Amino acid sequence: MPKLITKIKEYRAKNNMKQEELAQLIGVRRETIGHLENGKYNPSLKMAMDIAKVFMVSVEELFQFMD
Amino acid sequence: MSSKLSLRKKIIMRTISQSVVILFSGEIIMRGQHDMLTKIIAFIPIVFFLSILFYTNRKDCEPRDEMARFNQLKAGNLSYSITLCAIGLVMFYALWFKTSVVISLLNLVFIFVAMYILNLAIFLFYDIRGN
Repeated sequence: MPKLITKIKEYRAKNNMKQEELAQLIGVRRETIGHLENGKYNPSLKMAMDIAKVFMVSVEELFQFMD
Repeated sequence: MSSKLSLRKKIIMRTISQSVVILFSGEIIMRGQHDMLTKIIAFIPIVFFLSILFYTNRKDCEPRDEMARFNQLKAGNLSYSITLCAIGLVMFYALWFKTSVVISLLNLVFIFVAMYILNLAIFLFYDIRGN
């Protein structure tokens, strides 16, 4: 099964943003962002779109499947 | 600026306070005494429960996000399966040894609280480990 990888950490670093700040912007807990970055949680479409909106990129740019 | 109450802490506090109330209530009902002291003692867990409820509701809390909901659902499903297995095991035991199983009210309270704590533990396991 392909694994979902994310570039959230990369974009967060680029925007000089903390996990806590991103979590507040999209209305989730800091733990959720941590699990997302470590590939331990697959987000819903809404959450993925919310995060993409924060960084002003497409969902495909932020989340990719790796075989 | 006051800090926000962590969702995990809120769930732990509520579960423990509710468990204490259930245990105390079970213990008091088992005694079967209705003297003044028993009535006063009965108020202690209720006050404890209400103060924790007041504290957790008043203090700003983290949002109950989708991961927390998903983990609670998973924990609920697993607790339900474990409970069904336990009931099945007791019924099997009763049938196999052709004996009747009598569970006292206090034991029932203990079982209920144990299930409640187990559910919390499973939730915390999923929430800390990730999916």
